[in-house]
Amino acid sequence: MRLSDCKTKKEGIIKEILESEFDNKMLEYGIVPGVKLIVVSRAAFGGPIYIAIGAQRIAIRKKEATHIILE
Amino acid sequence: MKKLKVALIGNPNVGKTTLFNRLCGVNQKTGNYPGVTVDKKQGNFTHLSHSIDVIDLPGFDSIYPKSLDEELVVDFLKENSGNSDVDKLLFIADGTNIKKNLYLLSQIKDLGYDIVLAINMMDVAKRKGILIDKEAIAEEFGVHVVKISARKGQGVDELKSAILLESPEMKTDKLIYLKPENHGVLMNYVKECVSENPYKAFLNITQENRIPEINVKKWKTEEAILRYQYVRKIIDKTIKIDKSLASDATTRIDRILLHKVFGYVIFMFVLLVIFQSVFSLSAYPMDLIDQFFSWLSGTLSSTLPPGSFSDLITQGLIPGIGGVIIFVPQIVILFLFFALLDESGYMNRIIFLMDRLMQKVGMSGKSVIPLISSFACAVPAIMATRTIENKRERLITIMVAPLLTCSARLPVYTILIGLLVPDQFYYGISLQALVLLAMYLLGIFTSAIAALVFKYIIKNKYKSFFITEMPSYLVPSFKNVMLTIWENTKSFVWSAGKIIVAASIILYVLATNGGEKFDKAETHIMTEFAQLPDSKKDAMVSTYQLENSYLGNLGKTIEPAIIPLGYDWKIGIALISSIAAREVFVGTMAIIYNIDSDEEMKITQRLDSEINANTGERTFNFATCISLLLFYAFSLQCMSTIAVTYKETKSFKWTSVQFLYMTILAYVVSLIAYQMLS
Repeated sequence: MRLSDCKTKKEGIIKEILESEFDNKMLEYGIVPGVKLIVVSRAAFGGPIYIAIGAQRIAIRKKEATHIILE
Repeated sequence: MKKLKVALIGNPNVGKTTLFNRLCGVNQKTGNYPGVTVDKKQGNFTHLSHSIDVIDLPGFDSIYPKSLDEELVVDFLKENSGNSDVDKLLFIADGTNIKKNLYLLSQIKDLGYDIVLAINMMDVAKRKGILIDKEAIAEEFGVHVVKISARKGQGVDELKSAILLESPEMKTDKLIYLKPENHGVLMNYVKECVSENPYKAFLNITQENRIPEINVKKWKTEEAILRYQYVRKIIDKTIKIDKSLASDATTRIDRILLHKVFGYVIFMFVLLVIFQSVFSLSAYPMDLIDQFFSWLSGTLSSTLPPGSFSDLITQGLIPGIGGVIIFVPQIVILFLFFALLDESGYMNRIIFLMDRLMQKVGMSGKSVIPLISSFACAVPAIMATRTIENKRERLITIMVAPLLTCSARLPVYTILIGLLVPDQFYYGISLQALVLLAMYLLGIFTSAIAALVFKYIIKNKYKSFFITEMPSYLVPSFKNVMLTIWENTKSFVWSAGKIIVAASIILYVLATNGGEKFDKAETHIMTEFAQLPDSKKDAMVSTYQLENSYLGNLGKTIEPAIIPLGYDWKIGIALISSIAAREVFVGTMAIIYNIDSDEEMKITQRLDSEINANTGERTFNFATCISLLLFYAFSLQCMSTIAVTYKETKSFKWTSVQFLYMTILAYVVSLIAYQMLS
């Protein structure tokens, strides 16, 4: 499943980060395969997605979230 | 006394500025890095008879730069790796969320720096039940570690002492960031290029594609994965979280503040409070400033010896300075709110909420803050666009910001609306207020349209991305808020101020000098209107002088161009003098129609009875007023904005584009409006 399709308050483990122009940026934020994340909130009208990885809270655009594959 | 040079670095939102303020207090100065528009902050403090210079580098996330700020820090780090220009790095990390910080730390450590690690926000971390074994971290990274709370000032002295300590034994370079099978390739390259530091070589290879055979992308991706594994191992060993204490208030608050419906309602409410405060709280101090400057001119003109130099001071310089200072209350209030929003962490939530909407018109969530400041003044707004990483999004934000109704337009709108609609109420709503509201909406609407157009014109070199940390909510620090207000107000007064003052003086000179007719104004009036009382004559002299001054001639020169818009040369003069700043319109109108008062009500009444010499009709008829309102809504009559756009874009082309598109838009729309309505 892609992160962009993940519902609010659902948890998931990152399986893979698809190649893109911003994959490195995501990796630097600790969005790496193997970590557990939870979707905290989603902005209205298909806006950014707010995820938490442990104590870290990150917002990413929906477009970027399509490159994150969850188990 | 021994001297040391230390650079302060870290991710954004870790309290770097707070620590810098703690260390250096008021011993700091802000400059600019050559060629780029990033603030360079430097400070100094003395500790145990050592003098320590501190450079505060911008917060950065990545050794692979994606914005101007980051590029600057990375260049700095690469340049100084292996030389002794900087003695030490002071790396600041957020104790409540240390994983990402340690990742960056491991990268910088690999560049061979001598580092002191300050783990900040330990007070908050303790409350959350986060226990950090600082000796173990010191051991793993080979750095000195000090736990601090920059906001409370805890551990700062210990940190100062740690900077003076001898650095611990350097650990031998482990190439933890590269798969073992690639070690040979890297080390061969290091030998060939005499680049001593392997990680610097690694960065050169991956950033500049120095070895064509290798898959740079793969190296970078593997680095991230390997490094996170390494960092995670260290974290498992050194950081324990007491679950019974851990309560994540931030996430729970975010469920409300970022709610799909309430989140936006709350944001609108916050916005309303900001606007309400900017305009209502500032009214009284602005009146006082206004009165003070007219008092100052009055007193000086009666005490200074009469002459053209005194006139220049009392009628050119002082009103010019007053015209800048009058905006200070609004700027202070605006930046008070921005500092509060930023310090509390809500700023990032606004960015989150608004990103999608702004994307539709080619901007980013980060454009919202500059655009909000535009309602006070475009100058701080354009300066605030620096936080937008993507060049195109930043440029579009700069281009459209001056279309929003800034407060310099308000006095102009007030007069014109006074002429246009009666001061009446319908169902308790003021008609004039409704028209003013419409002008605000027009500004918002036009800026959205203009942004859309720019979105299609400007090519996108960099893919726009949006990954941003959502910091924990914090109670703002008083000291930080005050310093933010001080820095920004100073910067506004200085950058906008010198231009408005210079323009006011030039305009004053143009308005008070002229040809033969100008010089003989007094005798002309005295002979032509000899039967009038002296008080009337004085006013007529100044009107006649202005008409025949260089400025008056300019107004007459442009008259043919503005007749189709429904204006005459008198309005032409007002348009030209507005270039200093829009609100100058009011003062110019007062002189031109020989009104002995700056009060808007009186000016409105006087203008209402004015007859246009060309048409024989009322000058300020319905069509002309609408046309003028639209002209002021769209045109870029503000030297300070032009200057700040140039300063921030470093591009003559975009500065001209902004000026031209707004001027043409203003001209065409006013032309159409006048021709249709008259």
